[in-house]
Amino acid sequence: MTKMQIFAKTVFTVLGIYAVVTLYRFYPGRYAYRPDETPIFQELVLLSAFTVVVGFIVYFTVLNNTRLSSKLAGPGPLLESATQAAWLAKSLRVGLVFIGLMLLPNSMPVIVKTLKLFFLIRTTVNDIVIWKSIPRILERSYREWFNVLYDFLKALLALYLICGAPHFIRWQIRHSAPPAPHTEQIESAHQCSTDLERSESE
Amino acid sequence: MNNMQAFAKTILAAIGIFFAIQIIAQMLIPITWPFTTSEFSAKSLCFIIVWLAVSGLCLVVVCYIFLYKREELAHRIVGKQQPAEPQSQIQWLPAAFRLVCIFAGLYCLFYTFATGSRILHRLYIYLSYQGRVPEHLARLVTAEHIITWALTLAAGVYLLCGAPHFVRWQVRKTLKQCKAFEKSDNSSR
Repeated sequence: MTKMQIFAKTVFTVLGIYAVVTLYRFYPGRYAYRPDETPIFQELVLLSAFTVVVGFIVYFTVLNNTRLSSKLAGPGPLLESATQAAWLAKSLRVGLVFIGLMLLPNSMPVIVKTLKLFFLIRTTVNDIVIWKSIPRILERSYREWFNVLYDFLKALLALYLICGAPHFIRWQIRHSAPPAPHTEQIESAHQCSTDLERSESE
Repeated sequence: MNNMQAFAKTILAAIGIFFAIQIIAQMLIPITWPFTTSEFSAKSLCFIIVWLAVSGLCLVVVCYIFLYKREELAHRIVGKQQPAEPQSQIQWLPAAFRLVCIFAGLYCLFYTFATGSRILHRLYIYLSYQGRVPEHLARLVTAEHIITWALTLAAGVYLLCGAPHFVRWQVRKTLKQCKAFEKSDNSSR
């Protein structure tokens, strides 16, 4: 892999993550202009179709972007596997931290609300156990729950990306590394070299 | 000027233009208020003038730092010497993290600027009701809003200062991860 390919790979990954967050932000099921009486089956079909489209985008921009990035970057001097891993780790980390920090201001209200939740645990448990009633913070329509889930997952994603997303980078490097030669191929190469040495000595 | 400084200069100019456009867009919002609200008083006119003055000041500061003084800033971020080849791989990483932090800090400050204007607008509504706030407006500005705003402001200021501790931590972790890859690569060989 060349340096430009690594750069293109990082750009595709950052764009892919940003696209996922933005697409779910504009998901039509989140907004109130759709009537509340919409059957749950219809909502599920819409969500599945939307998720399939987003899944395709994630697959080609984040998970399997090697072919796209090589097309975008063009040919160039190839790096050694160790140098390639180092460059990929560094550039991906910078890109992921960037997107994480860009998501942070929008996620700040969710982080504060989550912290506030710890102070509400006692009253919530009291309401459920003693008064046998559903607390007000849990009385939400499924559309509101979808919004809560979206905001919470976005905040988690932002925090994970700010921490450098080490597992994702490790996974990317493992999948971008040139394929290791098969054991049989190594043995046959070794056999060839010993045969060659023997013939030379003779 | 080395390559890295030229790269930093270009990025700083891009950042400056991006935020100048955002501030100009924010300046346009209160100008439309007289056309959208029926109750337009001298108080709202004062508010608009203050808003335009503050936004104009921000615009001047952003243009001065990112367009006029960008060369000095690029020198300060990257350093004056052209690094040697083996060293350059280590040095570009903190510079890149620092640039990312400055950009994110500006974005955070822009966000607090926008949120702060919303909070001010709601306080203005409170004041216009002279203490008799209707129930549906009573929860417009809560302690939660103000805490969120203050935290975002603090994060923005820290990131704009270059977030030295964060950058150091990230560089240390990245180099550690790279060393682990090198070790595993050598052992597999």
